Amino acid sequence: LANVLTIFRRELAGYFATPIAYVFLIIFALLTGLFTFYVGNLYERGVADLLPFFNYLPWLLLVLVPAISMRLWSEERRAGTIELLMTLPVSTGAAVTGKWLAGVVFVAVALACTLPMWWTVNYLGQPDNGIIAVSYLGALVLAGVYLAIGGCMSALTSNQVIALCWLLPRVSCSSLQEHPSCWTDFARCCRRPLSRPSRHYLRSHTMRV
Amino acid sequence: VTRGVVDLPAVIWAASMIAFWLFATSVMVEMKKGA
Repeated sequence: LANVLTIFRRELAGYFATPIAYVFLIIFALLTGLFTFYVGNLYERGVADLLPFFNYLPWLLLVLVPAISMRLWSEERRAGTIELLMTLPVSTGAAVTGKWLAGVVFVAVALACTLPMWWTVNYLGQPDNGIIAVSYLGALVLAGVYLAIGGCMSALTSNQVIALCWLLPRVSCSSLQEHPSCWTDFARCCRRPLSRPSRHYLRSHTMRV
Repeated sequence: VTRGVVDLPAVIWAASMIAFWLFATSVMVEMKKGA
């Protein structure tokens, strides 16, 4: 566990060592706001919930997660630090887990940038906060699955662009072939064969007691 | 206000997916290390 934490800290520090991470977080926050308020018509719907945000989030994660995961291993190989990493007294499993955890935390930070929207709907009305909280959790788990797939694709090649090309068809699976309206039609979603991460994500954010 | 429900089969499925792909990554890195 100590080794995992060491790799985790190193990788997380690597993310925030360059301004690219901050730029990326800002772009992600702006895009989620754009999709929620303008494309998703949050105000016009007249309902205080974050359904438009969670409808478009899987599509945004399709952009965000490959950008994070494609550098996990290919960057190490390109920079030549993979040899150094492999000669450290750290098992491969610990290195893989640490890198994946750092990616998950980075996505969590990106999702945290969207929390003002949660505050906004609470200001506008009385949303179901339990469902919103579980939806955030579901989104993080979905991002975790995408990151795990992306990490494997990144390990395949030293070229980040090729890693991205490998990754995109795998994370999108069949979900990109579906019409976007299926995200909002839950009954149809249950019947249609969406990609499994997306389908489970949808189930997690629509179920209620 | 309702409480969000954790869909257990979905969580188990996601955890197994993550475990599988992390294991595959480990195998891939080991193979590249040996090459």
